[in-house]
Amino acid sequence: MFGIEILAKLIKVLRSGATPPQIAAGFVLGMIIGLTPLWSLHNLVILIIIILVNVNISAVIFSFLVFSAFAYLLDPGFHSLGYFVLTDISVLLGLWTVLYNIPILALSKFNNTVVMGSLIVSVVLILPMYYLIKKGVIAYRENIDAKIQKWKIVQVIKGSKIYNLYERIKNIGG
Amino acid sequence: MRWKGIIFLAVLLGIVLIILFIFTDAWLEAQLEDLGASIVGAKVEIDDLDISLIGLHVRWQRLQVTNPKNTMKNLIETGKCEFNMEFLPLLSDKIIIENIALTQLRSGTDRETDGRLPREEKEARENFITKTSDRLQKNVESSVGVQLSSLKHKVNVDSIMKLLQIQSIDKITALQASLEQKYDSWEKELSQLKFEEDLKKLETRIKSLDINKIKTVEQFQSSLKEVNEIKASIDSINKSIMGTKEDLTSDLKQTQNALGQVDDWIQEDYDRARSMAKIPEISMQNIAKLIFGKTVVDQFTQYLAYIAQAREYANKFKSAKPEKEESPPRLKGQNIYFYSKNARPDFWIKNIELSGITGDQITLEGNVQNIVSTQKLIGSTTKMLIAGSSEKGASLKLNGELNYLQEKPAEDFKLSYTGFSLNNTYLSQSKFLPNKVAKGMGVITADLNLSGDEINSEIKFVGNNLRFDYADQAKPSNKFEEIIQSIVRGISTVDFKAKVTGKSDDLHFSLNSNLDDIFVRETKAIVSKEVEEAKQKIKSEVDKQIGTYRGQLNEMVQEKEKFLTNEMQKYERLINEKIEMADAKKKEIEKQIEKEKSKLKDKVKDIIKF
Repeated sequence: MFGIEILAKLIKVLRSGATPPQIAAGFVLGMIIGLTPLWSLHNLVILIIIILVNVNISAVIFSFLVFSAFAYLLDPGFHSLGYFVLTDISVLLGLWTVLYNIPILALSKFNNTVVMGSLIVSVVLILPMYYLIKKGVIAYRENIDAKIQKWKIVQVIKGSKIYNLYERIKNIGG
Repeated sequence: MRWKGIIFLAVLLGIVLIILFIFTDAWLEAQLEDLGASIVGAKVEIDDLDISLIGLHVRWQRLQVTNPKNTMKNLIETGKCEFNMEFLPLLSDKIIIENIALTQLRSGTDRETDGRLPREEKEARENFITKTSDRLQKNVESSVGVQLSSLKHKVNVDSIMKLLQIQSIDKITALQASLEQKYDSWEKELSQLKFEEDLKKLETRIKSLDINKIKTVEQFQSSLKEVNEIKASIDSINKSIMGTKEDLTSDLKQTQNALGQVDDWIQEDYDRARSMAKIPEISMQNIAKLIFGKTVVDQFTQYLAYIAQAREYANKFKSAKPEKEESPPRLKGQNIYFYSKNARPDFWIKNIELSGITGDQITLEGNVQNIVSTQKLIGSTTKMLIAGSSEKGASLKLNGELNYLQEKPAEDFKLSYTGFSLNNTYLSQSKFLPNKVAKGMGVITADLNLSGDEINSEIKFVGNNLRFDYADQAKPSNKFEEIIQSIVRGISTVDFKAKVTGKSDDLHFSLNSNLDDIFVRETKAIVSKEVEEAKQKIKSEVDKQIGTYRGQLNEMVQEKEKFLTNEMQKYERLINEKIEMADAKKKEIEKQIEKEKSKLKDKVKDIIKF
């Protein structure tokens, strides 16, 4: 059932009234929250951005759920990457030392290997993901949506409780 | 920009602040309790922690640190405590506290609930201290048991006799058979001798020489010749008898030598029995280790564990490149610390003022300075000094320093605790000294010095005016417990000195006590007496078993020798008789010849006169 709900969520996101850039931005912001440890200072900043800027919140939630699962699987890789960046690149040590001793920035936990590793991966993925998602949404709406709407499974999902609930609350986030 | 979002954010912020206001105290209290418990290994409880966000004032009503060795008692308990945290460092994730006053500090107080932590399998990280602890534990466990096992039971004569398998009996039986064969052969040889018959013939020949019937000189000369021949025959027989006697005497002498071996064989059996019942070697160190080893090592490893924690934290906050943790918990990662020269440490309690009272009414005062995450940043070591005394004369002084300024970590502690009460305490966890001390006074001095992976420590303890409680004493189940209990009854002073020196891979642990000397002396006295009794028992048992065979052998030898000797004497007697008889006859004949010569001389004289 969870798989179907995810699929329904994805289709709803793609078919919502939001523009492709709003969906792509929401997806990318959700990706950052999902990949990096949740209780980090940068995620608070991203949360504020999500609330203040007109991005698609459904895309944020969908992306967060998907990338949280990835984050769990990729955690050892993030740890190794973070350790490498924080300790093995000698030219950066001065920068880290300065950042570490700046009030507030220390609270960002950038000195944690998993935070650093996952943040680097997230930052690297921002632009490719943004353009990929934007193009994907456009392509979906122009070429695929009409065909998918005829699928029996989609008809079933449309009649489900989750779908109806979503219909009721989708406008809350703007 | 969406306005609904801004309103949502404002509401969210408000909710967060309310939650912080309501739950921060409980959350922080739980965090601090968990942190404390992870260090101590038992529950740490803070009552009514209150954090005022204005001025960052922290206070609590009571702090209890459970004794991990006895989780129904507190290691320490404090009364009310208040302190301020600096605000600005908090923005840099740093906690800096100027001064904490811990009053009403008490130790050994009773707990209302069990302070045991739920059992949690913790992966032990191997380091110098864990290696040292392991080695010490192994040293104590392996030191004694085997050697003392021989003491645990009384000397069992029956089992020794079974094991002994007396060898003399077989040897005596074999000797007896051999001698019987020899005697039989002699009996046979003597019975085959015809001396008696020959001598009778010679006797007849002597008797047949009737001097009265001899008339002529020729007849006399012929008789004399006959006597000489008989004598020669007697001499020849005599020679044979003497030869046989000589052979018999020589054989009997050999028999006596063989009989002499019997004593040696029996002695060998005694000796083997004695060696089976000998007193085991008991080295003095073993006893002290057996009785106090576990107590000392447990205490020692507990302190080493605290030091290991301190080192681990010091190492954790070390700048530069820390060792990579291979698999930290998922989504937790590893923190890397970047300190600049003038940065403030992540955690720093500059001063803790302590005051309180111990279980035996020692009023304590002292301070702990610079509990800090990175000593290098403040350029000072962590130091503690706690001292105090009681009206009854007990005193305590603890000096300590944790020095992580250099690459090699170093810790130094000195403790002097004198005149404290030992009433209702146990000196040892060992089952061999299970008695509670009913009354007594103690003195402990301890030095613990660690530098890198080198350790140098000494603990001295003296318990004076001791009186043990025998009410709950179980009946000794073996000889060893019996000896220990008898020693404990007779002592009023117990002392021991434990030393741990060296590196983790070359560690020396020694533990000596006055009980060592007493134990060895008493053990030897008691066990020797017992073994001597056992030896006597063994001797009489051996004598009993061998006695019959030996008696039979002696009897047979005496009987046979007597018989053979009598036989020889009979022949000697006979031969002597015949010699005498022949000599007498010869003298008689010679006398008659002289007479006849005299008669002839007279006749010749008469003829010449005419």
